[in-house]
Amino acid sequence: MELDELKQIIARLEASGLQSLELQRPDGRVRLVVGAGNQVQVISADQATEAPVAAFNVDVTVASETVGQYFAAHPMQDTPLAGVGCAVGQNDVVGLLKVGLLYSPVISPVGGVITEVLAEDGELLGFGSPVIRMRAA
Amino acid sequence: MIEILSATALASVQDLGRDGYLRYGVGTSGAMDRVALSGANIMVGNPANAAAIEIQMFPFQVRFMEDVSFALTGADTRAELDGRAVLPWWSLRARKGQVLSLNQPHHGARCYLALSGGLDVPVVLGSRSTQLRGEFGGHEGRTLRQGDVLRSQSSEACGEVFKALPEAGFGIEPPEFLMPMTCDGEPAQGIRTCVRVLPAAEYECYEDASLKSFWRQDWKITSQSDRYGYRLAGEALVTKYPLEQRSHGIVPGVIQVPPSGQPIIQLRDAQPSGGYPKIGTVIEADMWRVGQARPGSLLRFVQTDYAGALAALDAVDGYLAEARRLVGLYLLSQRRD
Repeated sequence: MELDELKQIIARLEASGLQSLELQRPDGRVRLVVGAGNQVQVISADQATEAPVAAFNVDVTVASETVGQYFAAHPMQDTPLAGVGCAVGQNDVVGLLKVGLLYSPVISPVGGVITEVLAEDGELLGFGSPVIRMRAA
Repeated sequence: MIEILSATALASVQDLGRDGYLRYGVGTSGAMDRVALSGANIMVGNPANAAAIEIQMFPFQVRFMEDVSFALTGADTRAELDGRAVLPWWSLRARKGQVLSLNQPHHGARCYLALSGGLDVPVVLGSRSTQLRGEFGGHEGRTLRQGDVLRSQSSEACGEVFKALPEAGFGIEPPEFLMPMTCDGEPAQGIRTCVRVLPAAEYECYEDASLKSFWRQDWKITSQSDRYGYRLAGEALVTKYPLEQRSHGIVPGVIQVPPSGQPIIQLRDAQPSGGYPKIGTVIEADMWRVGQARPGSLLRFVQTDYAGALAALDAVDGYLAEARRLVGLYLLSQRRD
């Protein structure tokens, strides 16, 4: 199982509010437990003792959940909703996707710090396009 | 159900206004920015004419006494719901006990807070708007006070909207970005507002130089400006000969010129009659721009004709109809049951 894939699963786990997740595949088994401070512990299910084999702050890529034109700031406001280095909370609006007159929010799935803005202002994004990269706190 | 936490004066319950009673001497009242009021209602699934709160003094705070969806439109008040930023022209769910705080906007003058279902105040002479001069309509015929509790009209519909609203809410494009105004080729921005005006009955009575300056100068909106009318300051307008008139009917938008030569735009709470000469009338489609222009800022008049005024009104109506269509589709797509 690739580390990137694992990180994606971890981000989804955190966003979902679930406490743990066990995944079994031909290339291995893994158990993920959300521990204290929302830190995800990766526990290999093959180990007899459930000692974490890894624990890290996760890089999360926030993807668009719909099609639309991306804007970093509201048209009435000068400052971007989430610039690099900004601390954001879970479910905060970190960008906008515009379709016609409608703005739908790009939502931060976890609390953390914005590390990179991946989309261009005004860019047309599809479903699942990466918008922002952040380090989950 | 919400409770007003601020001691701030001048917030009032308004809908689109009390049309049809000018002949009895009853002014129209209603929202100063009717596009923003309609937009807020559309975002929470209300009829465009439902009653909402018009806020024009900040900071302003309300506490939600039950779960309800709400929308904020008009000026960007850098609002916060329990300390969390709420975008302008945005609709969101509030939970019981949460506090919504509105701050002094950098631009614009008025903000509208609509609750799904619309505010439950009595209909008086066909409207829920507050008639401040007559002390009726709205909430007890007066501006809101600290401790006032306002209910929304409960309905099946508002429950549906509440369920369909995504957690972080959604917004619509504010009208100024779709219907921008220019004067003399320059976009209206910052402290200058441009509005279109039709020449009125006594237009021809003014000196040519006055007519030129009427269209070309920046009029300052003085501090003696409110929901009744805006008093403007600039180069005085002079008639070719003395004009005396009997008092006659006037409507919101009429620009009167008293003997001082400094014009007054009559607004939503204006008296339905007056005797000053009328040099022009702000078209209905641009009245919302006046409503968002604040004292101390500048106003420029742009000449239009009847066809232009109707086309402008069509543009506003088209904007609101498209917003309603898209909001309906969006909420339908978000339903998870």
